[in-house]
Amino acid sequence: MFDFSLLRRLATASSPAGNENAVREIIVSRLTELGLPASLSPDGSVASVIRSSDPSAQSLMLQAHTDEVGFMVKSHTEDGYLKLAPLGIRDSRLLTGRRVTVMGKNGLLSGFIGAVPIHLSKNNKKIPQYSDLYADIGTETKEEAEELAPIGSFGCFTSNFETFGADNGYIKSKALSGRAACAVLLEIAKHFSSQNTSLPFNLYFAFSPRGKVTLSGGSALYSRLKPDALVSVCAFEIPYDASCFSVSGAAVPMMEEKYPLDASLASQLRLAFTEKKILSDIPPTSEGEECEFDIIRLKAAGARVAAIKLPVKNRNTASELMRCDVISSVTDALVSILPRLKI
Amino acid sequence: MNYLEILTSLVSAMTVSGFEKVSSESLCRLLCRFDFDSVSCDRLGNIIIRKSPELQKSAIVLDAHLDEIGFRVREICGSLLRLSPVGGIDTVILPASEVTVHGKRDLLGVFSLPDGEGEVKLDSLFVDPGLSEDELKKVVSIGDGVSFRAPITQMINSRLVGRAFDDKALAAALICAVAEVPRSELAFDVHLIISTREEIGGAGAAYAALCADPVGAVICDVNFAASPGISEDESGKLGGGPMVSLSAVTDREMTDAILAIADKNSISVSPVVESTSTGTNASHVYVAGHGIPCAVVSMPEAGMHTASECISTRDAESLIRLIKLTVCDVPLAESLTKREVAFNV
Repeated sequence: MFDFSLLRRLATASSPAGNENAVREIIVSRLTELGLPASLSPDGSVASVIRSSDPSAQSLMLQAHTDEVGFMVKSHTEDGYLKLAPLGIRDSRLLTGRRVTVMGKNGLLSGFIGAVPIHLSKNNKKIPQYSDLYADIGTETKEEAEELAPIGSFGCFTSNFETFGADNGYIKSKALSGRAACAVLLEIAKHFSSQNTSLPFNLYFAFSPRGKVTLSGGSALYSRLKPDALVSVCAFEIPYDASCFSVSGAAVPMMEEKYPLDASLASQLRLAFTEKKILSDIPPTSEGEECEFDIIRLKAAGARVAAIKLPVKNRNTASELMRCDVISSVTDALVSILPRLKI
Repeated sequence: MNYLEILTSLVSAMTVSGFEKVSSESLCRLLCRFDFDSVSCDRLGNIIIRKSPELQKSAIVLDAHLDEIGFRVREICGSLLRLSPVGGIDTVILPASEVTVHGKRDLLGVFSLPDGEGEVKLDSLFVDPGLSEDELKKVVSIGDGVSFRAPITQMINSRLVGRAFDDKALAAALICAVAEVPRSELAFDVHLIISTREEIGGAGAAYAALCADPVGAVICDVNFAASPGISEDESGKLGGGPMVSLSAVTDREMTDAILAIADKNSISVSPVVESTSTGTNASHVYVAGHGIPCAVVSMPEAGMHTASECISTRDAESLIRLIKLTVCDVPLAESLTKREVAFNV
């Protein structure tokens, strides 16, 4: 059974790109509970491993991102509002009027992103620029705002983790797609840490920061551990005019932009997903993904890379939507294929 | 009497304009436990709360509106919904916003992202409730109401952020004020109207005020809080106390009396000039029946008409005090009654 309570904890933790501590702590704690090593790398990645009993075995790395979109406090206004610099939020329209959490000096602060009321903007329906937006955390003076949320403080969306839809089989939350990928890896770690059957390869787990700002991502741990192959678990966007009900599987692309992915790995994963009836095609209108950057970087470093993309609607917003059965089926399929995966 | 408890009950109720009756009867039952003479619901769904003094006195109407902006289901497109707006909806805030679809049962739905960049058009946004087309059609019908969905959260400096505080924050304050005021001190026969349809024109308050036949009305609604992009002279500071409108559609004598009551009792208030329109029920109540002198007292609110409307509970406390003093003010009652009696043509 997939542990959705762990996914809830991961998704509701505040961990924008550049400050992933809260999620990292949950991951380290979970790996420790499972009796697995949890090593922190200097760039903020967490790595773990389940070793094969064969000392000459090759190694496979499963990789996911720990971060979420958010913002940093750029400056303060005289009357105590926070001006913002976005971290991976692709569109100012996705911030306007939203609830946010600011990671202040003395703890988390609740707030929202202000908007000029429609009553006053009727003749000026332009889309707000990032420079027009501000966070209101209730501070009343510049001094109070500077004290509680100094320049450089991180912030992210605030959003409940809720199940909804048919049989409560859908989840709505912030930071869902990245944290679902982390939860898939932790579920696989749980499975193989409790099995006596030896894997034919060393299985590394890589939880990488800063994917939303396309920085170190997965390539740093790849450089450090040099696995023989890598499977990145990330997301693709369900188009705006399709329901999340309509996409019942994950994608395993053969190409990432112009870069071909590892044909052998991708084919084996596609076959396993086809057998389980959970292989989906990425719609042509789907938005770009942050794992592209990692994959491109990893390819440049000579890695053999495949990607598993979980379907998500409203990606990188306060209200991402995913199907529970897709998350758990992908996990089951990976648990099933990994012992016989030829790398 | 807990302001936050009452506000939470009001905000939990589905009251998109035109749907108030769905909730007004259950809210009436809830309000019956407070110290009122009667709580009833009229044919438009307005909630009428009465509290009368021991001796017969002229009636005063206190009004705050129950309804909220929202949507109606316009079209079921496969597994998705397309909506029509009810009231002033800023489409910029809609992408990825959460709503409750009030079908045969309540459904969580989430707006899609917009198609392309630039202005967001409601026509190009779909709400996804996570159901198959068949199941969706069993639960949802064309015309069903849809409201914004967001929790109430406490912020620092006595701020609250939530949905539909316009105008439930004021309605909750008026309920507290009228429940707390001793009957023996009332200078008026109080008719508290929690009115319907303000966001689509103000018909609810006009009808209910007409039925009360008052000598005056105090219309309470939110007003713009000072924040970036809003000029200082058309807004009030959150936490700085209630705002009092100076307008051609409000009664200056009544307004001055309320300002004097605030001054005498050290209640901080900000006058705000709204020369030709207050954007409240006052425009409709003022011309109801034989004409009803109105004053408009408001509370500053940030994020108006979004799912993150923000008020200060300090302002709510000040408003409660101001209203209690106003309905007990004998000179104001005498002055308004005298004006009514003086008309003897």
